[in-house]
Amino acid sequence: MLFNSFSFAVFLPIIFVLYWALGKERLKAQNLLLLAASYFFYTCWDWRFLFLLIFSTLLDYFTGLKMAESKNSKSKKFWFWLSISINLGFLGVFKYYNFFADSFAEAIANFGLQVNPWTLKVILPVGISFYTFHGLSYVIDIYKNRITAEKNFVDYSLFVSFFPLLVAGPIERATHLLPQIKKERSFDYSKAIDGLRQILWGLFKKIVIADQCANYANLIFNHSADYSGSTLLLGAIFFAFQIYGDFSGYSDIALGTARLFGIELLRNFAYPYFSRDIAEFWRRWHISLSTWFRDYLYIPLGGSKGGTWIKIRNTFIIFLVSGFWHGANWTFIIWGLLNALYIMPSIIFNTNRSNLDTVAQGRTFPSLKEFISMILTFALTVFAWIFFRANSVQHAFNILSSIGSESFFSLPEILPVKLFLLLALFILIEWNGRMEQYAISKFALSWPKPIRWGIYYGFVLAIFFFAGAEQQFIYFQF
Amino acid sequence: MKKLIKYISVFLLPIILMGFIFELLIRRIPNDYEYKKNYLDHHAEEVNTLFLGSSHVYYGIDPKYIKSSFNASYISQSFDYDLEILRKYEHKWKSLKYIVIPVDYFSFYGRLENSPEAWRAKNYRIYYDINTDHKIFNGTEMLSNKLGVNLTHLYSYYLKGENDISCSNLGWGWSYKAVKHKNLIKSGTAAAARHTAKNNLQYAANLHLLDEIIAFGEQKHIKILLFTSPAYKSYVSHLSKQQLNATLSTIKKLNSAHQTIKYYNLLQDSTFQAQDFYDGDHLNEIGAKKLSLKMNVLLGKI
Repeated sequence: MLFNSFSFAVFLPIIFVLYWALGKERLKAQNLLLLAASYFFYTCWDWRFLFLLIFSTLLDYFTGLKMAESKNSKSKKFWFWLSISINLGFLGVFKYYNFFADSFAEAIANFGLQVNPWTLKVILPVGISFYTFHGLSYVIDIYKNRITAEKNFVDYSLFVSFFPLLVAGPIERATHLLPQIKKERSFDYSKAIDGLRQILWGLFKKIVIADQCANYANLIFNHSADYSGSTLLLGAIFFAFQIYGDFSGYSDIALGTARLFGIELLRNFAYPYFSRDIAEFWRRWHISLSTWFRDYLYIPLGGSKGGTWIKIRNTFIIFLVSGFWHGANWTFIIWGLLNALYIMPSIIFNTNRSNLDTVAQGRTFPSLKEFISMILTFALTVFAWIFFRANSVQHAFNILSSIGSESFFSLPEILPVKLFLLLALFILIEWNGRMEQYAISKFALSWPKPIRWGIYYGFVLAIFFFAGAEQQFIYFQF
Repeated sequence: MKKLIKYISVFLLPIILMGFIFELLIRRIPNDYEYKKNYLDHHAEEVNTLFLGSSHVYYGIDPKYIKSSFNASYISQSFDYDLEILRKYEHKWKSLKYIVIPVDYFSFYGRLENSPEAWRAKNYRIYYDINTDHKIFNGTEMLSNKLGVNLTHLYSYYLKGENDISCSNLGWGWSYKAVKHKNLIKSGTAAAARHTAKNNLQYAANLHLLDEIIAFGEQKHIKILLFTSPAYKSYVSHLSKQQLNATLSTIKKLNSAHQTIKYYNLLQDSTFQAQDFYDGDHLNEIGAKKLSLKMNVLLGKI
């Protein structure tokens, strides 16, 4: 069940009405309803993988309890590593086994030996990377004594499986979400309206921006040999907007949907393309994953303590793992390494926290320096996206070689004027709302109601105008 | 909560109202599906020869050359819709003696609902009262098409005066004119690739549907003429031998198992030359006249 589908448009209001009809004093029933709805939501993808989700939930729930009951550190360690190894084992089997088997066969072939690796013919269970990371953060937090183990199985299961975040995040923390699940929630009109507004903006980003950019990005990347360097660069820029509109649009719908139920999820995007350097970009892009890696990998590895070389090593490790998290393909690994290289100067010269505020805060326009910094940062991310989007490393290098050829100076074969106008409008709205949680959260709120509603109708009209066959969200494949 | 429901209702009301009005306006636009249904509603009892099938028949057979016949085929119309049309007028086929159905290279391998033309399925539901698919969106024009497509549709009819009728009064599609022909080599190659199946998952189910059509004919004492439509050499030369042979062998088996059916393979019939084709696998009006006259002769032989 996709967020941009008719079935979700039916499912959501039904669950919403039932949920609030139960009343705030019936918290257990509300949580049970949300859990049942979440499992139903998940079975709409593939019911067989529900067993895997339930198993993963049971594993972390019981190992969490066992760790809490452990009287000595040896026993605690045992349960901790049991949970970690099974969780990573599942992820490894479903997501990475074929990659390792094929890579091994290719490596062996270089020595003149031939092996036919046994590969798994299974599809990747949707959301496995996300709910596994939920579970991992939970057991790590218990092991580190940051939280106590959750005794209520329904509450814990809901933390792992809450449907707005189940298939593509944001990757939540037990410290943030579990207290909300356990607390009585009362209906708040203004929050509900805000949630609906964020859903509307998320749908606009997905259907009007991402899917329209996808039409051209797919055409150009899938037939890259037929296009000039200038067209290929345009294709990479379209992909940059596609992946942003797609994933941040998904996150907006997830956050808005959760808000309808009185639950606040972690923010996942904060206008990353207005970043002035790569360090700022990574504080604004897929925030829940970046902070997960920071807290559960970078800091345990020593973080910034221990000198520059340790910092460099740790930075490379987290970007390498981040690339690999996205998928079992060398293209993602190179994408991760490129980002690690980009961020190196600021790590070495200790300037990675020089842009903590929002660009042009309190001003309408950025300064020339800020503008140039944003363009340069965007150019670097577009370059890296080429590896992320390409079908193989060779494909990415072919594209880069075309971009570096004379054909780069020719007029692109594809010039979709309507899409350029749409993107310009989109950038303007995002720039105007860059201080807010999401671009239209305060947009036009002080304007007369008919004008404000006219704008909302404009968004709705655009969504219907561009809506076609339901398009998957890119991050569902991770 | 009540306030929110009121807010959402007031906000959605104009959208729903506009959608409803557009739906009504689009449904008022005359189209081929509605025309064919109306024709059969009023004239099914007089039809002696009924043509079913996909675009190869729709553009390829003009019933004006065949006495008391009607062309009820349409673009990408698969066996399931052919059978439903037969069943819909089951009690009205009082004069029906012959059913003509093409069994082409792709006929056993796909259905309308899985083809790039799947969007046409809603037309059978809305205008033909045939419900072979159960997709909710296919019950409405507004939800089954992009808003842009619907607005263009409304603009073309209500402001420019263009309707969607592209068939003759006897159901033949006249829009594939010789003067507007496509590149036969390119289009033939592309069509062959498009019609070559990735798998044979639907083979058995489609064969079962054809069996049902044959059984329908046997029960009503209606003879069935199966044929493989003529195509240009660029199309034929790019077909998968395996898929083509499987289709031909199935027809051979059917032909020998049933007395009521007769099969003709016109795929490489030398009567049809380049000037008869609109593209690699469709006839133009010149080719359609030839095929219709030929069909008239073949029907006389049954």
